[in-house]
Amino acid sequence: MRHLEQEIQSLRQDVIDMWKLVISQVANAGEAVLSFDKELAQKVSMREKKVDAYELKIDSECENIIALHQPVAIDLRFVLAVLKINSNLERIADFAYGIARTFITNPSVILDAELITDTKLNVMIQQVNTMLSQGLDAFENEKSDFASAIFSEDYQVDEININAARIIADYIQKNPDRAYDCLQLIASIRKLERIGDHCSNIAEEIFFYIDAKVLKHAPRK
Amino acid sequence: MTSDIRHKKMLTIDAKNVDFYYSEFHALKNINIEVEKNKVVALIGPSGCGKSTFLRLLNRMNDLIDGTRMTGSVLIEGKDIYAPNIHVDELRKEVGMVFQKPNPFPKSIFENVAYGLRVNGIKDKTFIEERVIESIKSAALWNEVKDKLNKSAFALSGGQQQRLCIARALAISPKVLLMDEPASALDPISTSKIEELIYELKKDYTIMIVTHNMQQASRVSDKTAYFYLGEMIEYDDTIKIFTNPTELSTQNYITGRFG
Amino acid sequence: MTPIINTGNIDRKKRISQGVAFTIFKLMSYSVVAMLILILGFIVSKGIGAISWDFLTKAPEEGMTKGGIFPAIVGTLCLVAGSSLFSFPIGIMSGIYMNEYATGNKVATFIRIMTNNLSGVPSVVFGLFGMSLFVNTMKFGDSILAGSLTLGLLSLPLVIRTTEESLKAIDNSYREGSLALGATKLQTIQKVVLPMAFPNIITGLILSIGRVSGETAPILFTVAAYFLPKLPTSIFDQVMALPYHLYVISTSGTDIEASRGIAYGTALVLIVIVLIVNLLANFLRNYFSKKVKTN
Repeated sequence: MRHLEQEIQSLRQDVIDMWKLVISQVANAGEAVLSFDKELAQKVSMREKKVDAYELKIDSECENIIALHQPVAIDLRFVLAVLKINSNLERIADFAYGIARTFITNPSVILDAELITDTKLNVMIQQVNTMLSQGLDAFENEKSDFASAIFSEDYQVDEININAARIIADYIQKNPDRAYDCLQLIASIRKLERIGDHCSNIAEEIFFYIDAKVLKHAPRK
Repeated sequence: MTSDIRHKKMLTIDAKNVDFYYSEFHALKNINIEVEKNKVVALIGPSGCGKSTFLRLLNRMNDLIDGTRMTGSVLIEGKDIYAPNIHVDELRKEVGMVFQKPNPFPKSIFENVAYGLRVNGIKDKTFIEERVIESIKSAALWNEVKDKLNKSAFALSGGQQQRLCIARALAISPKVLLMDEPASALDPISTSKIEELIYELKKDYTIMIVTHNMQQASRVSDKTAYFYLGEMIEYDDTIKIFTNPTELSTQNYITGRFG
Repeated sequence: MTPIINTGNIDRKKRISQGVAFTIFKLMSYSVVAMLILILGFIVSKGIGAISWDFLTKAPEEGMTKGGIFPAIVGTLCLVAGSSLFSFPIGIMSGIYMNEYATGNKVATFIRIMTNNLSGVPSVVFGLFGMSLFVNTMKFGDSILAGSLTLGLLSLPLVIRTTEESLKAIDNSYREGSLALGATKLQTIQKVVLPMAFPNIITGLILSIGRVSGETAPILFTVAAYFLPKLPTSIFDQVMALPYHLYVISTSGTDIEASRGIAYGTALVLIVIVLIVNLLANFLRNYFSKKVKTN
């Protein structure tokens, strides 16, 4: 294998490892919220540093490849895509950490199971997890089709986010004493919605890298 | 509608269905290439792919080789340069060429640049002098040689010699400038000077350059043609070729995954 | 660090055989120089006594056992000039034709084979041929003209070949550079190729002069006089020539023993002439190649 190919291979492996870590961060953060598992939330908080370390490593790998190998065509697109996927993944991990932190710092927050089902928080967590895994699948197998579902799934996540506002407002009117908990809940829902956005950014990068199509800011169905 | 506009636009180089043979060897296969005025086109491809052969078709340098045969047509500014009424030496005034190795003549710097004018019968001393100075300036060499125009061209460095050769080609005011790996024998500093020069020259000339240096092709050219085994695999905007080539073969070559 | 393979023994052998080989090469090349010095020393020591102003400026006297060699020197100069007038233009032009115009075609290949064959022909055959063609058939008689033409024929292959080689040594990129500027082939040859090839061509020409001035066999039947103390007045006169004179006084003179000293003197003059010609060739090559570069 050529030198550049080796570098790109090891960069690809680092991205995959980081990606898997981010998936488990999001999954654990969601699981912690749904099952009131403080220990799990602690674990997410602890592993946030590891994600940051990956981000730095991948950044410098990209920098080195560009400086030393002057990649072109698919190699160039790969490195550029990885640079952006990298920062998107890091943001996603940040949100997962944020969700876990909210839960750790506010131990009194206990959510109503009914409210969770009404706001579809569980569905939302499920959805962003699927999106992340689909992205990873597409990246690993270099198949952009695997990532095409992400855009419509992001749309569903946005829907849930919009509807949640009304549902929570109604809930607060009925249970004004739970207003604080509800604000924490809406913050987490906002974060999950942002995770969805980052997932679709990643999907765009995958399309750019594999098919050289720029989907950004294009209206989609 | 669009096709009308395209036809009205004068192409500087227009090669149609060009096939070329060295005796039995089919060196170029059905090449079609259109070059607009004031563009730089880079020809890339592995050794022996036919890119230099194609370049040398444009000033009929291949005529010098015995047993070669060409079919198809090459138009330069609308004139078929292989038509029977075209004189090769007149064509070569219109299509200048710079070679891989700097090849200044064993004459003074001034006489090197004046050579093309003199062999074409120009005797007017003031005109020759003006043209020589102007050409040396265009080749970004003036500051380095203005005090030693009567010194031998061999006293210059390789990079300066190559710019002198460019000045020499410019002196007869060609329309097209062909460059056959003009920087491959030069150090990086001289190379970047030549590249800067190409960027400047494109304002006045149409340039076709053969290069083995991928980065050079991407830096200096507007369009890139990739040749492989005598075929032109892909011809497109340089930016397209180097970010997202259509053909896998092109991608394999420019990313270095070739063979 | 110990090497993976122990090569100590082989390394020593390699070094020894290398040393032996180079010593042999060195001795051989020194021996060439030694032989040259020996010959020169021999001639100089034997011949220097005969050299005097009179020897160089007077005709031979008393059955060539006394006097000088002036007519022979003049004769040789006449033959050199005559043969050059004949062979230089023809040779240079054919060389240009073969290398610049007819490269690779069958005519050029044929001419090249023929000139190579011509240069392999022994010089005495040239003499016989010159006699039958120039002296007898064309009725020039034994004359400077016939001798010059014969010598010219002899040096023609050398002139053609040096011209061709000198032209071949000029990198094609110079020709292409000139042609690419709209110059014709003739302009390219005149203005670029010939000036660059000039130093080498000149060297070849001068060396051919050296060769011509030393030849005996071709002039034997075509021009050389056994004894002719007067100087030539036309190209149809016979002349004496140094190499032939040397041959005569050392093999068939009136008194070989008595003319021994003169013979060595003649040999010395001949050698000095050839040496001067060679040195001149070297000097001119350096001079012109410098001039080509700085012009």
